Amino acid sequence: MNIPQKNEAKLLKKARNGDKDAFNLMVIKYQPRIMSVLYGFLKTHSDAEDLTQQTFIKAWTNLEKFRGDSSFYTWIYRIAINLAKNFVKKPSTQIEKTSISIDEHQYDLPEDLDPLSFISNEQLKNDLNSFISSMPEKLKTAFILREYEGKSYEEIAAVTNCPVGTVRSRIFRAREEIVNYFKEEAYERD
Amino acid sequence: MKETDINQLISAYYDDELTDSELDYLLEETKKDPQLLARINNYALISTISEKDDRVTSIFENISDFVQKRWVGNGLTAAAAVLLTVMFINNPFESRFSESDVINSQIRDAIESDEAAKTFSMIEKDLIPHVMSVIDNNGKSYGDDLAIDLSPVGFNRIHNNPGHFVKGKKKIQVRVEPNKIGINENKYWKSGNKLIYLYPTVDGKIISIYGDLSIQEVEKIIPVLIK
Repeated sequence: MNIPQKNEAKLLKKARNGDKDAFNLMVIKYQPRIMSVLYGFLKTHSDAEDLTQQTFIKAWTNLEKFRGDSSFYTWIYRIAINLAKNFVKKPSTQIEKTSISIDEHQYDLPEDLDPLSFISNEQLKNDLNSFISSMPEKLKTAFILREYEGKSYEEIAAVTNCPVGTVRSRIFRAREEIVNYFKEEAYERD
Repeated sequence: MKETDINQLISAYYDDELTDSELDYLLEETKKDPQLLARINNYALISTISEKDDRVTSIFENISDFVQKRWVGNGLTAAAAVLLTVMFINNPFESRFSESDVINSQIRDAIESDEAAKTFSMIEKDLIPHVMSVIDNNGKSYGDDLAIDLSPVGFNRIHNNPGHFVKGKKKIQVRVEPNKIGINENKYWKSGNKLIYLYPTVDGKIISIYGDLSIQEVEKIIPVLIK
């Protein structure tokens, strides 16, 4: 299902005009999912990480080819899959890390928690569920309605009978509690 | 704006819930401090984890109807069907399979699931790469291809394209090579007029036939190949 992304549409317009920061803001949302997909294919952390980088570089350099027929995520997902397929078919072809650049810099998006330790850890789902269960009721409800049910802030506000601003704040606080929990569990990037 | 407020904006951005002016403000802030992006990355990680198992429970239910309408065979596992479908969707020459973004999304969810990854790597470890390589054949010669003569069944070799044959409008590929994929009975997959047929011979080889064929036609070709 493609949910219209109004923020994304605006960033895409800016990115097409050469605003790399707008592009970064747009794709950072998808970095863990792309890395997770690539890790599923490649089974090694370093290859998944390198091909994730390549995926975003290719997306950036080919941005004018994105016509909007599919969602932006579907488009970069296809780029990632095609890179993975080529890599698997020609394992002798090493990823040219040094030649990957945008504006002559390595293309790295900032990370805090380590995505690779997340996506390859089978126990995380249980840890996450246990922690969510222990959260204060109001935060838990807002977070679950958003994250698991895909409800908009307005819909959550109607269901929980509180202002949209409160919903926004509760979801933010829930996320922060979860992130802090995982930080304490040492999933931080070195 | 306080630090908490900018962080709250980041959370709302992740949910696509910012107004245009808030988005402009956030973009300017991330330009000044790119480390703000790390917070979005954290939120995305949490989503990825929370999605994981939910996808596993539903993926094959979601795609089974789509896949079953297109691929029939005697050795078709769900994992093989998904991967073959992905192959075709990603192959511009087979664009008829790219029917809608909804289907692509379902396939996307399937292929990226843990279940699919495990199934591919365990059950279809050798078979799927072989089938992928047959479909993606780039004209290379495989073992005994050069000696293949299909003229008794009306197929002529395509010049400079080892293993490729033509009969009227029908084009097929045939490969004969050592059986390294470990199958000991014939397997086939058919979608529309495309057929992939694998036949293990008693002398330890695997015959792979791919193209616009019916099973009946393949059954006539096999005896010619093993003669």
